[in-house]
Amino acid sequence: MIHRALRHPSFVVGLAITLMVLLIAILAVFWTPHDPTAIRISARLRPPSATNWLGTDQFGRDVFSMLILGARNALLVGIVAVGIGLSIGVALGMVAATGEGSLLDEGIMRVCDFTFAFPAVLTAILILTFLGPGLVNAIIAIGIFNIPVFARIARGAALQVMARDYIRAARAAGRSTPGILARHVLPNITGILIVQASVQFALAILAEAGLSYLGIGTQPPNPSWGRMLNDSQTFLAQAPTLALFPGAAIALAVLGFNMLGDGLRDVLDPKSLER
Amino acid sequence: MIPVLEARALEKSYILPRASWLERRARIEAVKDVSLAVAAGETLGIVGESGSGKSTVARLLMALEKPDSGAVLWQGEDVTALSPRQLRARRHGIQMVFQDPYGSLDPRMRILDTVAEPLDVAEPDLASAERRARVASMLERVGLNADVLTRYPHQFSGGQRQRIAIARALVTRPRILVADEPASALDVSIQAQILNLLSDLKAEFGLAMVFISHDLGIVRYLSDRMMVMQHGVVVEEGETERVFTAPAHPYTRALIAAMPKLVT
Repeated sequence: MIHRALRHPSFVVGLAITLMVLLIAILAVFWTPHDPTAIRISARLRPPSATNWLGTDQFGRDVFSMLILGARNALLVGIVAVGIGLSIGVALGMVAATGEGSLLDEGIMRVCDFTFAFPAVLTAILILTFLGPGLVNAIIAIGIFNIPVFARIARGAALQVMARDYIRAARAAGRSTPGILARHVLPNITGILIVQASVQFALAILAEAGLSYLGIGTQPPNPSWGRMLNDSQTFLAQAPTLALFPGAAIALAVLGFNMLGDGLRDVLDPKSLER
Repeated sequence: MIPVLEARALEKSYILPRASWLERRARIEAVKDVSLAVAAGETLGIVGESGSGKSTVARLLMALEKPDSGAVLWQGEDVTALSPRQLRARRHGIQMVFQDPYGSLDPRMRILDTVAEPLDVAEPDLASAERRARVASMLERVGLNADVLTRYPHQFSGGQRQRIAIARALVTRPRILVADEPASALDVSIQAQILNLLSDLKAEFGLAMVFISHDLGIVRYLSDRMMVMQHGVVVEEGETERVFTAPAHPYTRALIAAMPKLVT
């Protein structure tokens, strides 16, 4: 399987980009070239140079330092928001699948349909008007709209697995329903969930950037790619590179996770696992 | 003597999905008034064409589904009335071999854990070395080496997989084995091996067996008594040789007449 994975171009490229973003984010925890919150009015809107690799913004802050700290925030949002969606959504989906056709199943799935009827970012904005702006609340909001996505996928995949004879065999062996879900259903739907998680990860990063751009995500002075984009648009004429770098960072991260998800879909395809 | 496995007047029907809301829900009666009893060490063959309800009978006997009415008795105890917990505690005494060995083994589980699963439920406190030893000895009994323990189902052929499924079914030393077409998904050359293995194990462990098949030759070879099912109803039952030599029901006669014969 690893051999096939390493020959899959979109998997390899996606993995490389993802690892790079991850390494940069880890690096930012320990080291940034400059203090990303240090304001130097004398060095405003500098173009890229040897001291400020990607230039400075309107307050003289180092763009490169803000960018790699932004990577950390973006990953944090992705991991926690997808984690919320994954844990709650998969649990709901498997409960729904266990009681297929029951009132509980119908209830869970109709609530999912209802949330699908609203655009995700709109839902997040709605949630943030209740919770108030901020990074933590943005993560919660993005996590909430991830729940129905995973609930629906988990339910469909679990139903498919539960029709197999090995589930019947486990029941005949005396396994309880929770035991069967944990030992047989969950391991057999993991592949599908991983693929979906990488796609949702990209969407979460995009959503955080969008919310921060609108001013209701990450709050100053914490750097965020979305907020950097928002700040830069006032100075688009004077310092066009200011918008270029955070934009490119968002595009690259999202592209990386999408390609990784795409590659994983092929690599983890159960059909290619058989014999 | 109490039969180890008994069914009394089993009825089971399914509601078919309807094509439109305006239609009435159609019911299909899969099993109608089926009663049977199997004594210790005895093999009961059930034959019938596909759709005759024989697999439904297997699932009802295994208490994998609840009958609409009637009772299933394991060693004289009505299991249709038991709570799920009580039922699970009794499952080690009756096990099943499924038709499709590609579908009945979890593709993500090592052979060791697959075979040990009934054991894990029956004896959760078993030491891991003892667990491994029991699984290995049962695998050896069905003709597989201990080096298969850490491998996964996709690394085995159909016949090997069915051997693994049989080892799993017998690892808790059940008194009853329900085999639902255990050889029909296999190559003809492998079929005989699996059937001989089942026949040997039956004698060795003193198993009561319910053997379901559409192949009359196999049923004749393995069963002491047999039942013929058609459209969910038992149309004939009796000693296997008696049914073959003097079939009473026209459907049984038609089935026997349709058997391929060797012309010399």
